[in-house]
Amino acid sequence: MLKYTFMQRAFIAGIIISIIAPLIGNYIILKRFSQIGDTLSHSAILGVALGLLLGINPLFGALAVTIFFALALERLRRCFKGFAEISLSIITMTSLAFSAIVFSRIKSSASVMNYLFGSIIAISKMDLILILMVAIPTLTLILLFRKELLYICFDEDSALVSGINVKFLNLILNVLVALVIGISLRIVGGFLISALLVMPGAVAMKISSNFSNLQRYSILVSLFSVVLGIIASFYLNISPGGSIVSILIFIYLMVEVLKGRVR
Amino acid sequence: MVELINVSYSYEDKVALKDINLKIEKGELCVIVGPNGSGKSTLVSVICGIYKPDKGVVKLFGKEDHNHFRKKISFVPQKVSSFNQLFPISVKETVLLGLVPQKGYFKGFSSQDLKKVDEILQKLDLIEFKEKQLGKLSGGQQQRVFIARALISEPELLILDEPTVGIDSKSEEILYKLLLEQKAKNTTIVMVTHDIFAIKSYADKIICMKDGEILTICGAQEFSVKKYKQIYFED
Ligand SMILES: Nc1ncnc2c1ncn2[C@@H]1O[C@H](COP(=O)(O)OP(=O)(O)OP(=O)(O)O)[C@@H](O)[C@H]1O
Ligand SMILES: [Mg+2]
Repeated sequence: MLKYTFMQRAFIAGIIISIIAPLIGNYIILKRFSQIGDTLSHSAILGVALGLLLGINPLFGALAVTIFFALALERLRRCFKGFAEISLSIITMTSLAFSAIVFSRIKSSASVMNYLFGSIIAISKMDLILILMVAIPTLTLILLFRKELLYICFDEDSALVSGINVKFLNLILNVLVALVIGISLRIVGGFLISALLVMPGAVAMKISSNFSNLQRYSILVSLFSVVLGIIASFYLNISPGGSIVSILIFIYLMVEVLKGRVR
Repeated sequence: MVELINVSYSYEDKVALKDINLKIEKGELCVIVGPNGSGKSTLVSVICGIYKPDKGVVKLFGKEDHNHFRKKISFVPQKVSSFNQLFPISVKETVLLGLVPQKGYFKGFSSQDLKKVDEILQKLDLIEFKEKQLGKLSGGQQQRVFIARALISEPELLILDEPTVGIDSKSEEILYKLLLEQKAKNTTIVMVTHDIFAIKSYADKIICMKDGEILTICGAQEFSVKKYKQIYFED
């Protein structure tokens, strides 16, 4: 299996993503803002459509459009203070509407499926380079701001009072979500990205009593699911997005049942 | 240390603060009292910078632009247990958050920081809960953890909104002892409380609020049962 170049690429990309996604996903879970993953993945699909239409790398299109909407979201959220969900719905629908228009202008639709549900054979060398180029600054940003991000998720008011730049960090968090969605698109696909952001943390929350453990367990869960999911995708010839998320759901149910037993 | 000049603040449909003027000097212990809904929490939020006043000026550390000094401010909000009880954070991690503003980005916590956590938890009689999940503690214990978080950074301005609600009398006594210790180090303390008679003898200044206005500002000696009744029971 590993003698194929495309599988090597799939594993490298998969492992990178499975470490970064839960690290960021955990913060949006704790901020009660996990819907942002859903919203921005629709923006990523629009970016793919635009990329295909204009003949540029769709991954690049996805990153650009997703970051744009991540910034727009923060602006909109201020207009609907206290009703953050409205801004999420607006961005989701805007992305979907434009995607519908752009997709109807594109001739071939075969490669579109790859971007919606992920693919292990379609990752080009250029894709991998792009993923690495985004992954390194993303990880750096997480390391840079990890204490501060935890503070604003836990108690935004007190963080503000003690001089943490809450506005800036909220913006950074949105951009981080956009970046991880952009680079996860290839493997898990636009429809299922937010599962990779949220599910590992959901499992880890069941078994963690502190934040360090939450981070640790969620990465373990996500690494395991992504690697196993890619293998399953190879042997069973199914979409990796589908297999990865199915495994995540299975693990979640297992933990639920086991926890019930212990109690 | 804290100065408000003609400060007003309204929520969408409700004027919560009307033309507030006050001055708190460095090293003072200032207590804010008043009935429910009189605007105590709003006043504290405006002082803290959580709300921007509609009108007027808030000066901290003698300056209108206080972003520079924020690291030296600690805040204990009212109703601390309104955070999600499932939040996966330990007592130790919560208290460490108090040190975050003073740390640079990238910097992790040192062994010295961890020693500070042990010290403050010891003082507040919480050391046995150090590794426990915060949400699994009782309400009063959680309240004490938030106080520990505020004290660990040795702030120069300490603002507490009803810190004694739900904590037992022994813990209350410990809290007052810690506050006096801070005061001895010249920390300015602003505290909202209904427990006025417990703290009265230590207070330098008592601010009495009613319907969004300051009724009187007086020293501890001038604050009497009569005044108390006037604030809480007369219209
Ligand atoms: N978020 C809000 N939106 C609208 N009105 C509010 C809001 N918070 C407080 N108020 C109103 O402003 C007034 C002052 O409220 P505040 O919370 O400052 O009172 P308080 O003195 O702290 O009361 P308590 O003793 O109950 O804590 C009240 O009449 C309240 O109804
Ligand atoms: Mg209040």
